[in-house]
Amino acid sequence: MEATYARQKIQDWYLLYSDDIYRYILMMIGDHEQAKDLTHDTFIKAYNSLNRFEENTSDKNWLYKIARNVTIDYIRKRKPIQFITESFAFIPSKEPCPEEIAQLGESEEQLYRSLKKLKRSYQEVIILRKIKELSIRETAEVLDWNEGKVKTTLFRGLHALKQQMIKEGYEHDVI
Amino acid sequence: MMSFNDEDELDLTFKRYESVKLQHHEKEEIFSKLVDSIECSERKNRFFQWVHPILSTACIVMLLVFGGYYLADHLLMNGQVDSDQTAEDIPANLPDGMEVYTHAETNIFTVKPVDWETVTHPNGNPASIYFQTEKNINIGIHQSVYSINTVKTDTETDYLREAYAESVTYEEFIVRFRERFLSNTPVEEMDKVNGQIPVFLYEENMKAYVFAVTVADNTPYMIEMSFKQDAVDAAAVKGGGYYDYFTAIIEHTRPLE
Repeated sequence: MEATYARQKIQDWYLLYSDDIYRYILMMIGDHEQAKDLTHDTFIKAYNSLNRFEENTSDKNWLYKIARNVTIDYIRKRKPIQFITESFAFIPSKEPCPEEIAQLGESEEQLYRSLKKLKRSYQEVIILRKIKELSIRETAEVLDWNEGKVKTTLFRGLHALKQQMIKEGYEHDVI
Repeated sequence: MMSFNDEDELDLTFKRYESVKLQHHEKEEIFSKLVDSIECSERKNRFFQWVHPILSTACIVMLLVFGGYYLADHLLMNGQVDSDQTAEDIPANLPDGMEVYTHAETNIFTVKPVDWETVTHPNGNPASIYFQTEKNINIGIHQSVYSINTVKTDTETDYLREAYAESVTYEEFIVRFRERFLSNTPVEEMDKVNGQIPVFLYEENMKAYVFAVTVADNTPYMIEMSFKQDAVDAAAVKGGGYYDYFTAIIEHTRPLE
């Protein structure tokens, strides 16, 4: 593939989708600086594997897929202690919430903290379906799941999220 | 405050996350880093594209040099493809004009005159090889003997191996083999190689046959020489010019491995 064409394509995609990719990664890892680095890594990986991109697929979903792989690789490389902490979901979260989310408001912060307590598959499907608003088909494509699994996991994930919010003491009546 | 039991409120909260964006300067910073990384990657690719044909050519040249050396050393210098000859294998008492010959398929190590042609199992006998000269003298080395000049069938008996298997001594082996292979043919013992290995002579269909049976590394061999000759006697065979080659083959034939 022509290098100039590849470079132009990646630059175009960056202008269009960098915020979406950054936001997706931030929601997954909760670290602004790291999310910036992984956003960069995502576009570099896309550049290096552009010859494998099939034009009939959505470029945005393809980038999400790469971002997901990059993020999972990062999560796997984190220190084991973080994995242990993540498994104790009943303990109210002390993990700092990214400033970008905390600034949105108390509800957003509370929801984020509870979301981060869920297992990764629940987090992934909720982020893609509810926050990124991808369709069931698109979500299945990004996660390499079938559509049935997306629906089931989303249902269970939302239920688990509500239970987690109750455990965290975030259940309030509408004022 | 909100109730997270309210689906609509929950969805709205999710959607508000979409307002999170990179700061303009951060976006520029990542973009600049991205461009640098792409340029670095392109430089690597260009370098590799430049180096790749050079490396490929160097590899091909090395292959040709070493391959050529191997061919010259192992094939051309020895004059035969099928030989596994090494300096240690060459017998000390090899007569002039002879060379070591090995045949992996039949597992035979022997010697032969340099200019003799090798003919492997022409009658379909995979346990034999033959040497042929321009004067139509044939020498055959056999690891199985069924009946001279016939092809092995399932019902035939291997006289050579059967006689060897049933014998305790070399002398006994010779007697058994002669009785079974040439029971009705007058055979003359015309010589003894190294004073130990008897050489026999007989005539059949206007041709003279000379043969000996040997054992090397627990493997029996029947080595025979045949040629047309008007007067068939021991003196004529020994003076024919090929007998020394024949006795050298008797002395040196053994399994290759």
